[in-house]
Amino acid sequence: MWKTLITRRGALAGGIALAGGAFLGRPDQASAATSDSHPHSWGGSGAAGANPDPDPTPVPPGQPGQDYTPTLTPNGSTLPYRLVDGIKVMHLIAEEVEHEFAPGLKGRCWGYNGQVHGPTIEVVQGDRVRIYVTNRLPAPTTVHWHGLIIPSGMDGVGGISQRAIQPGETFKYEFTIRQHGTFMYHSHHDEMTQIAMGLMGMFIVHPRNVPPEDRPDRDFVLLSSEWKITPGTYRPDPNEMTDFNVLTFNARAFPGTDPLVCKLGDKVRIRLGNLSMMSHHSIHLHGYHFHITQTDGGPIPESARWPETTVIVPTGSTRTIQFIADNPGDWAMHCHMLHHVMNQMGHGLPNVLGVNPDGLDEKMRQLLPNYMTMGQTGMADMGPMGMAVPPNSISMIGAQGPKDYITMGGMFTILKVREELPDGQVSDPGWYQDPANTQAQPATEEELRRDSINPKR
Amino acid sequence: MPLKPLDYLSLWFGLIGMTGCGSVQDKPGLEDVRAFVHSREITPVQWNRGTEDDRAVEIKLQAMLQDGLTADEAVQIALLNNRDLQSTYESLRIAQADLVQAGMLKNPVFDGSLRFVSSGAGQIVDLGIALDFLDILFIPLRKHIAEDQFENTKLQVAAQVMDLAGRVKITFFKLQAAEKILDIHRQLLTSSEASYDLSRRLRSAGNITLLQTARHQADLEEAKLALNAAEIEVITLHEELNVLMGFYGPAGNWKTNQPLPDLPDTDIPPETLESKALEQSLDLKIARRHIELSAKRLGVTKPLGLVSEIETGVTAEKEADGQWSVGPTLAVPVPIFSQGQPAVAKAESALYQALNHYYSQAVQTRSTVRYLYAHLQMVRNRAQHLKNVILPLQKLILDESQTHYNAMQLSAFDLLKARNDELLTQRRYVEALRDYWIVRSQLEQTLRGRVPQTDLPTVHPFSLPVSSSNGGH
Repeated sequence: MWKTLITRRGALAGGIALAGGAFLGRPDQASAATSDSHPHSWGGSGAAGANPDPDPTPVPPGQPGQDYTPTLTPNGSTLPYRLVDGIKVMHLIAEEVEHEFAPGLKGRCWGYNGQVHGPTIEVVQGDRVRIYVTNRLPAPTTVHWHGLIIPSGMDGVGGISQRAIQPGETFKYEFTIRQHGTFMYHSHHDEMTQIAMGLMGMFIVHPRNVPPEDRPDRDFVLLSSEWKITPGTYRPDPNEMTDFNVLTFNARAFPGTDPLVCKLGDKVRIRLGNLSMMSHHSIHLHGYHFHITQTDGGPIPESARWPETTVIVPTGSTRTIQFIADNPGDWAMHCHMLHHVMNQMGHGLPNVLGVNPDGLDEKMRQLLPNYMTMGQTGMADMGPMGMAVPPNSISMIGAQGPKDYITMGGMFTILKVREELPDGQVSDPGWYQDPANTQAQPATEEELRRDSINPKR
Repeated sequence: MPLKPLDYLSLWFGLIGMTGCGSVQDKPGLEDVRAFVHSREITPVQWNRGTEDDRAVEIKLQAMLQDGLTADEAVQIALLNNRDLQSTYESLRIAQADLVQAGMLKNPVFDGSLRFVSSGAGQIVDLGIALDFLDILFIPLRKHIAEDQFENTKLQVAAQVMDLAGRVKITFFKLQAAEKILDIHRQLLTSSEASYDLSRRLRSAGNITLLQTARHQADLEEAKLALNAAEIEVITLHEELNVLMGFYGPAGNWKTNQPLPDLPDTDIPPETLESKALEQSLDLKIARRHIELSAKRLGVTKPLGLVSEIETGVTAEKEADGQWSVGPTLAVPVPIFSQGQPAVAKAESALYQALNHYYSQAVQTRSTVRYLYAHLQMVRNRAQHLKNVILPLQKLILDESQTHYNAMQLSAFDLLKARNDELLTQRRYVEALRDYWIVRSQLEQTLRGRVPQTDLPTVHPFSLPVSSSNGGH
């Protein structure tokens, strides 16, 4: 009934491959190890946790490029490691960080190693990791390894697994990775405050022995979170429970999000994590159907994979999607909870939509020389207005796009698929040039006449 | 040889001649009053008695009304045109007339009788002239007392002039403040109108409830009432000034031509305020005179109490047989029933009253100076705090609110409320500034010699009882 997860020995043997992505058309190899052939089997993490001692003959640590396509964390980085006796040694420093969410909005947050969110930890199934955590915060903290099957005392829950790491102290976490997939790490001490302040990061484990042709060409990591930053203030408010106004991918709000860049035909994997305080996110990708291939519980058997254009990522979960980028263009990727794609909106205002302001502004300007009625036709014109606003705020700000103003913000980024892309380029290739006749344009008189369309009807 | 009748008469008329006559002047004492008041920086002092001077005054008044009134002009107009003050000037003439009267001997009494002898043999003519002998002796004393009285009257008239000037100035400050406050309330009304206008537009777009609109309307209607009260205040003060300046009809439609002045950089220095006030005090001068007068009267009353008049005269009688007999007369009341003790007691008490009144007036003067000076500092601090700290803060709040409105964090209603708070603070500043000028005016008036009415307890009003300094007549 209980199936052990792959042991190092098993991994060496190479017989059982917990392949990561089953791309379109590839036979599934993922289900073999984690589930019984019996349809009503129970999952199980095995007795891995009960065996904390390292194997006498450890698996050689996996190497980027050689054993896996390294992931890309837009606006972020990957945590480097040093090899000590075959063990990947890493150092996380929890500290205060002045972080930019988007040009014009900075906040005093808590992060790891000088960045918010913390750098992505990337290892290979079978690796043994030793992670030192130094606490330079003013408060005690811990690190929990979300989704990882490890000894109870390494789990990082303050009070249960360990005592909290006091400010100034350095703790050592050490465990062997016995699975692969998309996981996360975050503080598990006073989470309401510390996660609201940004103490989180992604933890990626690649399967062992995946043939290069089965590896993704592009492997992106996006961690969602939400913040309350009142315009004109400089620090997120961790006491907020419902009225979040800054929504981010990798702690960046559009137009601060770097695009996801790939070449036409690439095998693309996008790992979505969500550690938002209170919200789930329906992440929608334009231009593609994808399959949801993994959760933080492990790979989804191919026959059970769900096709989608929108994947809902509950808070405290990861969802990994895969597709082949066979549709060139600039494709919006964003949370479809639409308040999550607007920066720092105010929610206490009267509804001004539909109000006729004629004559009102003149009267108001007798008392308030800089007054202008706003919002009577919605928010589309707010961005480029250039009015005096509180410092350090980006209310309703979007970005100038190639064809018009982009009225989006928050949890919004762009997948840019190009036919021509220099090898290995991950940086922004500029805007997509639409081929002729593939762009929505104003209808000409001729066309209207030809098709008997009367716009005045 | 006995004196011939004619000798007596000539002797007698000679005596009369000695005393000399004075005459009542046209505008007695005015120059003294003018000089006194001028030394305390108050002009003009003009007593109108229907002469060409009055015409010049009329022209001057018209000129001042042309381009609106300043505070100083209002004071000048009141001093020229207030009929109450003009009637007060007449008391100078009355006092001077008393002075002249005091220098005059009582008219002698002539009595004559004609008796017809029943036998028809002729008439008996009886003539007599008598005058109060003591009168002559007491004239210098009476003149002295009447002079004091005249001086006193001048002081009291000067006091009236200063009071009027002070009252006009303070009322003018109040009017300037009320006009500015009216302007502020007009802006507050505009603000309420804008709020209500926006709420009606929101309602017509279907975006807010009738309840919300009604609340905005309620605010608007209250603002109208507040404006109404501000208008009434301006009208009231305007008419107060009209009364003080003696204007009616079209002349009463003047306008002010300057706003309330800003806080001056320097204030009245605190040194020697009390001694200066005591020195300059009209009230104390008047009280001192009262003491002197009372003392003198007491000095006069004592002997007068015993013998209030001695009559001497000449009598001539023609007998029926045609023989004239002429001789002196003497009449002296014998102080049997009354040695005049009640009169003395009264005069004594009047003296003590005058003494105590002086003392309490001095206490009040000193206390008023201290109180007004302290009050002035406090009001200055308040006005400065409002102007230099609170008003700029309200402006900052308004500017920041505008940026938060631009970022759509605040509504237009919040913005208007911030503006209203700023306007209400401006109102408080105007009131503090007005209070400063009023208290300063009161302090200046005290230092010029007249204690104004304040919240401090007032001294009992006092004037010397009407004296019977010399019997009847």
